[in-house]
Amino acid sequence: MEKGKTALTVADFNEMGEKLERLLLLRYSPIALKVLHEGDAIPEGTIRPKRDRGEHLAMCQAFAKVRRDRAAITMLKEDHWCVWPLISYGLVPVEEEDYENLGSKFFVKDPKWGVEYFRNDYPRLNDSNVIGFSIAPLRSCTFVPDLVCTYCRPAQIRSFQMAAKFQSGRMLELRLDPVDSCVHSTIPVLNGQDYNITFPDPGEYERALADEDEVMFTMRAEKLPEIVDGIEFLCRTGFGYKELSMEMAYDFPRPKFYNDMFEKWGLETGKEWRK
Amino acid sequence: MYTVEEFSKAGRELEDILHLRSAPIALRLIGEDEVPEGCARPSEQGTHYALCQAFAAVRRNRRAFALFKEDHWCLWPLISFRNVELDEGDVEYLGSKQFIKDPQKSLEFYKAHFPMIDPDKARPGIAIAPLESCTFVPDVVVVYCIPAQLRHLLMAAKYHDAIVPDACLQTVNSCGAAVLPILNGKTHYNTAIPDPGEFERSLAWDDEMIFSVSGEKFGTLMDAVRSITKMGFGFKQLTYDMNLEYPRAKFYNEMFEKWGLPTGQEWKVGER
Repeated sequence: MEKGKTALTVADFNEMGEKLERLLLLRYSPIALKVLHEGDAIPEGTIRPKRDRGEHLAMCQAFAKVRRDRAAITMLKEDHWCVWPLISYGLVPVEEEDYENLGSKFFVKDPKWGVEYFRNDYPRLNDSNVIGFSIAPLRSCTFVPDLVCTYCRPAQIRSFQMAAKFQSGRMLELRLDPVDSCVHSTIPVLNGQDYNITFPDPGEYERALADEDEVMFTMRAEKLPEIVDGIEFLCRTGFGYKELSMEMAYDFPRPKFYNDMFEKWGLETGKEWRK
Repeated sequence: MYTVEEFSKAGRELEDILHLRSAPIALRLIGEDEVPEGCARPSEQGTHYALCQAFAAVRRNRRAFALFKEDHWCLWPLISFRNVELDEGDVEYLGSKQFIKDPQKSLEFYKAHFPMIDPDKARPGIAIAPLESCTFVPDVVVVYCIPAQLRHLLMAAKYHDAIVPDACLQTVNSCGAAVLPILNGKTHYNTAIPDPGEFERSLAWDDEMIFSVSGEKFGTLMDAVRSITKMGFGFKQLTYDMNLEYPRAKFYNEMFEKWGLPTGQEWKVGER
């Protein structure tokens, strides 16, 4: 939180979630995510997949249930069904032998490159005593989030990007990894990066049923007020998502028989169209 | 039948319930001295619109128009709405422009199936406006939507009347195909698909379909749209069922076992 500014309340975040859905005509809810530490209370109204339903979820599936079904979920170690978020959120130990094994699973040609990437570059949360995270639709979350993640189409991402650039005067600095989308969409931002854009990975497409035209925009929760403010400015000035519309060419070239008939009917002819 | 105010209110509600990207269009046949308030004449602004372009400007740019003969830039609506006369030679000529291989079949098709307004229903003009702000009671409401939204509308059309709604899937003249079966009183509900010209010049999207409903039945449709939403089967309420605890690659099970977490069925390439 910037110095001198009042801390945002849960109600503020809920209101901004409703605004984002309305201004960007979002098909699904933006997701609020809060990292939980030892001793933290589990946020009110969130379900625990293993304890409450006897189920395990991949993190991308939990995201999908939040955004599509408007569910609120708390994911601790025992609720997961995918290895990567367990590793990135520091919920499990990774031993030396695991680096060799897991490092070879990154879809890169030379396994050594994969091990090197996993050891040095793979996103991990710079935090301690983490026990999991809670996620809920931003418009109805019962906690102050650390991060907001929105699944949307490229034209809606454009509005987010324009709002971010409007406020900062800078372009977004991004790295686009085609795998581990749950990790890449959240960890760099939780580690302090303002924004990130991520494409749903193959597993998220196959098992969490992300649509082919969906992209994720993630921001630090503290950035949300200025993003909403930027989007509102763009809407007011005619450059928002709903306000931009395709310009059509009127009095367009037409095939010869159109001109023939229009002339016969005493109407105006124009340039002849040829494919 | 709804009043103008009720149509406008329901238009806003329909946009919200179906999460529509563009406004439903209100369309009314009009006489020369019946131009509704707020409807502009393109020819008076020095331009001409194809009817599909006027539809696009209404739904995307929230414009309102009154279109008479001299406002058009496409010949098919002029013919379909009987704003021009055709002689036998014209019929022969235009009958060959239907994208049908055999010229004779093309002519026969044109004479028998090309959407035309019934002579007794023809009027010189058309008023169109976004339903949410229209200043007139529409004869037809036209909704551009994606298939998942169309499903909700078709379910709503079936809900009260127990009918499978008609479709006029003409691959040319989509403007006429969308509204003429309703204006002619043949059906209250209709589905059409944007034609090649509407795609190229009015910039209809690849995934857009056109659903139309008579003004007379619009109130019944809205009631059903609300009921289906309440039942949890509306556009926003239907969501994908995911396969939880899915089969995982061997190394997932190995690592989960090591971490004291549950293992499951092993996933193998090619076994789907």
